[in-house]
Amino acid sequence: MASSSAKTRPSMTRRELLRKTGRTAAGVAAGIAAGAGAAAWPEFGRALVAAAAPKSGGTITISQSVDINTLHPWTGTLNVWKVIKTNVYDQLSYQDPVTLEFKPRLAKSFEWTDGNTSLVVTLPSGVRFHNGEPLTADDVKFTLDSIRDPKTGSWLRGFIAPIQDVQVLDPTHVKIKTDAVENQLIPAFAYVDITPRSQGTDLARKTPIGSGPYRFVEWVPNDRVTLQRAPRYWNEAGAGHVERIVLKPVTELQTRISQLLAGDVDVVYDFSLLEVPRLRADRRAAVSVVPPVDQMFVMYLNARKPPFNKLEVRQAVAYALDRDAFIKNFLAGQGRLDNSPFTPSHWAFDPKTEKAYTYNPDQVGRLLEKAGYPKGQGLNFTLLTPSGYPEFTQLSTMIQATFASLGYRPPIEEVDIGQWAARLNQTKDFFAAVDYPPRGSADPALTYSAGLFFPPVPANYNGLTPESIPGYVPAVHRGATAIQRPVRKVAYYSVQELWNAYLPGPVFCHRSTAHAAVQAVKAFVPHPAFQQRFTDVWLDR
Amino acid sequence: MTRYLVWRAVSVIPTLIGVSILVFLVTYFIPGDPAQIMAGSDASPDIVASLRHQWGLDRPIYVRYVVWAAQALRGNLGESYFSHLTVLQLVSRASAVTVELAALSLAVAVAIAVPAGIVSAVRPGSWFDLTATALGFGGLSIPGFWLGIMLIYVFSVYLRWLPAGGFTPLSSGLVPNLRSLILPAVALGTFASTQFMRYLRASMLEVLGADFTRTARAKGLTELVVLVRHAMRNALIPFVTVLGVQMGYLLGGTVITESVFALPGIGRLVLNAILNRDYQVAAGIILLIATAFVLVNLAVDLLYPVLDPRVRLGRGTFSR
Amino acid sequence: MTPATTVPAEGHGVASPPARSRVAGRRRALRWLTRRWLLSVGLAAVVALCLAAVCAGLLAAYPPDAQHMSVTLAPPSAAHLLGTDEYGRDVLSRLLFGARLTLLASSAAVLLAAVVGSALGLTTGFFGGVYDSLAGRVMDVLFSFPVLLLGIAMVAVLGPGEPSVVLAIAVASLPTFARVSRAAMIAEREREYVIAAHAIGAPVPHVIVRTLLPNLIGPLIVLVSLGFAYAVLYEASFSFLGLGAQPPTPEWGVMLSSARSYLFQAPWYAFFPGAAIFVLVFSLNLVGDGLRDLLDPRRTTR
Repeated sequence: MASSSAKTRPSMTRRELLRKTGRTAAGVAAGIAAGAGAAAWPEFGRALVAAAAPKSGGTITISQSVDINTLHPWTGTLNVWKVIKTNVYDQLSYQDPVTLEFKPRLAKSFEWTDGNTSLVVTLPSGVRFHNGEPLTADDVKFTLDSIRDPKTGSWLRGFIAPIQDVQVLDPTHVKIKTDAVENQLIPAFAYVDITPRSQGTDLARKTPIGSGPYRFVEWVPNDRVTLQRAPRYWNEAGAGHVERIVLKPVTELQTRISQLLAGDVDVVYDFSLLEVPRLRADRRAAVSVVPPVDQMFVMYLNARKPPFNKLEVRQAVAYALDRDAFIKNFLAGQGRLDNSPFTPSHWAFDPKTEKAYTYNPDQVGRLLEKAGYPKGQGLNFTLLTPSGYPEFTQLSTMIQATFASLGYRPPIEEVDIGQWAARLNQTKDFFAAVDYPPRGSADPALTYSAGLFFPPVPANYNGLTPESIPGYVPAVHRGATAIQRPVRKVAYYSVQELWNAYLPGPVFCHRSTAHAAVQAVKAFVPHPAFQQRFTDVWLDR
Repeated sequence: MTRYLVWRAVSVIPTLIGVSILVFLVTYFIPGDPAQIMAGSDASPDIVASLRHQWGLDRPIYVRYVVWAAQALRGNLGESYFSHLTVLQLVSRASAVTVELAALSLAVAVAIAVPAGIVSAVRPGSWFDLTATALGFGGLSIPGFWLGIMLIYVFSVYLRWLPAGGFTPLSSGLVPNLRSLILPAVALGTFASTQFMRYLRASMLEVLGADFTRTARAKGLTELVVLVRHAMRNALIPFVTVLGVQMGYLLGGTVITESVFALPGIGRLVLNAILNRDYQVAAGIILLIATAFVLVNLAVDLLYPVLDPRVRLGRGTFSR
Repeated sequence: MTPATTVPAEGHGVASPPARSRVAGRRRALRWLTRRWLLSVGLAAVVALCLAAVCAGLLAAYPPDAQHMSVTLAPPSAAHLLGTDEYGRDVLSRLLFGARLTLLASSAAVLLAAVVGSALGLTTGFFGGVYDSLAGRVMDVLFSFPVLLLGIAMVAVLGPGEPSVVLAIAVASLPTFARVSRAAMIAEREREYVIAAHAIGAPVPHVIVRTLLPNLIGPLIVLVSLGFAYAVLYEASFSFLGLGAQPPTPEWGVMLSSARSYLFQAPWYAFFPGAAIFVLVFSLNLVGDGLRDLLDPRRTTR
């Protein structure tokens, strides 16, 4: 490869370091995860250890489950797009896929000043966008201001909502004004893709221009997205090994697996956990299962109307799912039962939530009786699921069976994803709907700011708003702005307990994500939150 | 005759207008909102509203139809809400795949059907006939997606002869291109081949029993000459009409086949457009497909009397 | 693929080959017999499936949606003759109850198309004029769409689920029935007996219906049985696309389509619904084909 000489020794040592720290981190985490009943980490470590001296060059073909639906970095919401754009753009921070900590990426440092009401971001100099323009503090300000502008319509707006003002101090320094220390900001920056201000905000119509390790080449809808290694990435240690990345949308699961086994693609990114045992048994594939820390299964309940305006019925739903059986049968054992957005490896996890709700059909019956629906009489609700998400349907089907055994069988309404989203968010025409929101591994300030139940969507239940739960809003605020970890911990414990007491919607369990690669793919470490970079990956062939 | 041809050609116009209205109505009434899908499940209503306004989704239905139809006549079918490519750009790229797939499927179907149909007709009731009929019924009885998955498993994963889905464009070489389309063409062509075979067999049987064949035999011509020169030629003429109708099946079948084999063709494009509520793309493509279908059948109808001088065209039936 | 493409094509197809030799004659007899035989086999299978559907409540050992999460994806055994699915539901019981739905939905779709389509065809054929050309145009428009595509668009409008699928298939196969019956009506209208009946002042519609219907019923039955087969396949396609019946409905297409996730873990699970669909469609094809031979007026004269 022409550009391989650009990769110099220092990058190797940094990689070596990363590999070692990665291994220890994986080891530690394995202990935690094993204690929690999920032993997914060793494989994680294996993927890291497997690395010999990385080779440069080659084309890696990655299959994803659906096609992207936009090229806009700030409005695209799909995981498949996150996987692509994280490589094209630089973000101020990133979440380490192994330790799950948030660390600076484009930023050299973050520093709270002005009595903890300003965050100063220091940028490196000499960074260039793929079109040759320099990346400066003005571009960072432009990006943040654009996302904050409601007209842009970015889903990230809530992520950085605490920002009052963004000031450019000099080309490498940005000052971000807030009211207090906002713990969600640095984690939120991992989602913010810095774009050149010369491109404006109408980014959906343009070929993405970022400053990331890969340059965006083309999107052929339904066929592929092609990325090309950026010739001179500003951070040599973070540059990619592989020359080209081709990402193909392949919807049919069996075809995706077959393509991997036939060697037609190199990586199957994010496939059904059910295929994990089979692929593990196949020597042609190396399977990576990310521990169940980030995505969680929840059931949104519409508390604005009967029957879920009654706490007992909401609780009944929480007791109605045989979570162990769900995890065993539909997540291939790759999940963990939780009543909290967090898992025990997370500092904010409240151990008291552990036993909050378990599977108990008798209890469901008692609660229904207490709520005035003895033997399900008078109950009337449906379970809304999007088609194309088998796990959602499976979870709903199991809950349906529990209620059916008690006398009322709620219909499952399978609608396509667009209608599902519209009914959930716009028309609020639903009773109960499963979802798997992410960010269980993020900072709780971000987890609770970013649309997990409330606010903004599908919240705003009349009769059950955050404000109507005594102590909930102050606790969330305290957690988001306190500096001391113990103070925050107390705040979030109380948030989780209030949550389970009022139960706007039950959290059932966390879910792993599974990825597989052919043996020639080395050093592939999947990211739990799909903020995936492929820079460490190399091809041994 | 000429009058018939002209009348037949002109009769296409109201059909196409009707098609455009139906297409527009169907896509209009598809519930759901591209703005909501674009904005994601976390979006607030004002974000969605601003997107709706930006895309003109808040205008009344007849305004939208007239605007759309007028633009369509000028060859402008709008653009995707998502990729911002024009419908024509999307279609031209995708149709290369689908047209090739359809052509190959037809070739597969004809290659199976013609010999099988003729031999079955020449030896009706023979073991060959029975086996071919049974296999044919079998081919008709398998859900298309199932056949596709099985073909991939056998020929790609197990035997490793052919790629497991995905499309290699012609620009990467003819052989890789064909290899990437063999399995889908077989999956799609099998169904059609059975149709063809049964059709051909029936019309062969009829021709073989017809007076002119009897005359030819009486003249002392060998069976082979009778078969090739007299029977087959006449049996193949009505075959053309089935080809036209089969196009409709093939175009519909591509939706399934292209999903199973991950081909970036029209079928998948339109399916995704419908599921994503990408109205302009969905409407544009369905309109184009229907128009193509109408025109192919027009061509068949116009060609038919030319091929078969025996045809007397009486009063117009429903266009076919 | 619409039924129309096969039926009119072969409807006039199976004519009598000349009696060339005794061998050919014997062959023909053999063929005649096998055709009858195949028809009976097909009919028997369809009837058996219908009976199974009707008696599902008696035959099934388990309720179709009773979950047993401890015995998921179990292979066939004495307790579960055809094994269990991913929820530990008895596959045999689901197939039996599913037969109800599959048969009901497919036949509903086809009968709807047949009744509305032939009513439309007969009336347009009889009255002609503006009504005829208007209806003709509408049918032309409907016929311009590939069935599956029209179906997908309709299901997208109506929302996924069995009723939408039934309606989509019915609308898509409407033109076929309309055309066949209209053509038959037009042919009949100009026959001498009609003209004669008209001349002697007999009520023409009455005469036509009395003579036409017996002639038309044959092709219609053939169309229906073949259309039935297609309807089953279309339903499976809709299920594959996630637009079919809603869970936990034990519809065969849904079963087959969700079984494909367990193809390698539990191949039997995918096999049985697949086999059920295959047998049903195969038998319906046999019936359709056999009936066509049987009911072809030109054959009966032989």
